[in-house]
Amino acid sequence: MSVEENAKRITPENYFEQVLPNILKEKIIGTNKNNHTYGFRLFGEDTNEWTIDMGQRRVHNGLIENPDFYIEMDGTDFSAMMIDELDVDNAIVDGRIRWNGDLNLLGELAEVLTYTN
Amino acid sequence: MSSIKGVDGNKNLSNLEQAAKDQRDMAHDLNDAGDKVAAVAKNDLKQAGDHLVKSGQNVADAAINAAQAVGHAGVGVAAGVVTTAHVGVAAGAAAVGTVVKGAEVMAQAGSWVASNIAKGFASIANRGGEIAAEEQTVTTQEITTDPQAKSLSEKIFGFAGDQMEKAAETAKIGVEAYAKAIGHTVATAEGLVKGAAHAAAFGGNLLSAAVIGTAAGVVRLAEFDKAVTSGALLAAQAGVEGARELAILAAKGAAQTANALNKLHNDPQTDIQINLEDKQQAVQELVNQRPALQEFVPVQN
Repeated sequence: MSVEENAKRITPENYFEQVLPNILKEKIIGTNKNNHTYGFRLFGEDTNEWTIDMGQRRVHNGLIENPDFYIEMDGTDFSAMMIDELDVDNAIVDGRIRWNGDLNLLGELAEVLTYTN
Repeated sequence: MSSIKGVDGNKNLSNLEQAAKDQRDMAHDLNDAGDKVAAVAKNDLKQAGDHLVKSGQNVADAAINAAQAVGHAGVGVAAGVVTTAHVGVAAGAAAVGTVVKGAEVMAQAGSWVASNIAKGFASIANRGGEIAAEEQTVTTQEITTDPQAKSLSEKIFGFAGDQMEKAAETAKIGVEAYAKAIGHTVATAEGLVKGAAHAAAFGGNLLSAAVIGTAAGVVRLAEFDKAVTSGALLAAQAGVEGARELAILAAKGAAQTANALNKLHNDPQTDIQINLEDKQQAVQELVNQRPALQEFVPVQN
């Protein structure tokens, strides 16, 4: 089974609750000064919510009241993004990805989460 | 079996335990060579686990169990470069019940996923800014926490502190984004009235903005939108069948008119492509499907 096929078995829940916390723990050693909070809401059959607290380098189930940056999208789109199959432009234009806050904060998060072997 | 700290929810732990047990059972069929490699992997993974323990989280044992059970030669290779993310990914694979043929393979898959997510976020951050410069997005969070639609109205109409000022520059609301955000909000019983209330408030502010120096045709559009958004709120409060669809339709209609209004304010010569008959027909078609809405909307059957 290829990497891509195995990747399809990893759910958004696995990403937020298992993979991401470990990436954050690893990154705690780094020099990144990002201390912001990020709220994520994924829609689908169920609505799932998480908050990434970069100050604590932790992921919490649920949303805090006023995260510094908030983003919401369809769970199917997030799953597609996990396997590099999401057309981000179309998803934004179509209103399937929506956010509150400064997009630069999301860019900073992307830098921290960039993971290479 | 060790516990997992730092991740909310015991469900992951129970899944991990079950998956690890299943995989240990599989180990009986593995050959001696595989077991020896797994033992090496265990030692190397334990070192990674020590790092995790120091940072208050130990998911390495789950991966070790997977490595022992599977006995895949690749694990030893992976363990030499193992990172916390790799361990987490391997554990994640076990948690979802995947038949892990090699922790390395799942680690690669997880790393690839993590890389894709980072790339996706970066892409949203880059492209979203450009697209948002043209259209305002609205989230369910904003809808549920701002029932008077003040935030959105301020962006679109220059509405501030209950006062309608001149139309805001060239602000434009993302019609599809607003309709989808309303749709997500009204999907639940709890959110139905909140979503409809936001659309009704926005419709009211739209009309207030439209009557300030705007052509009569646009005012009539705004009046109709206000009537439909208000009707959608009443239908939602009454729990009428079709209230959700009406709230989405009403929000979409109000957003379209709001954009047209702002175009006019910025360029009075703009040719507005929306007409009242189309709006009425869309509402009528919904009423035909959901007759219970009849008494809430400004159309005749």
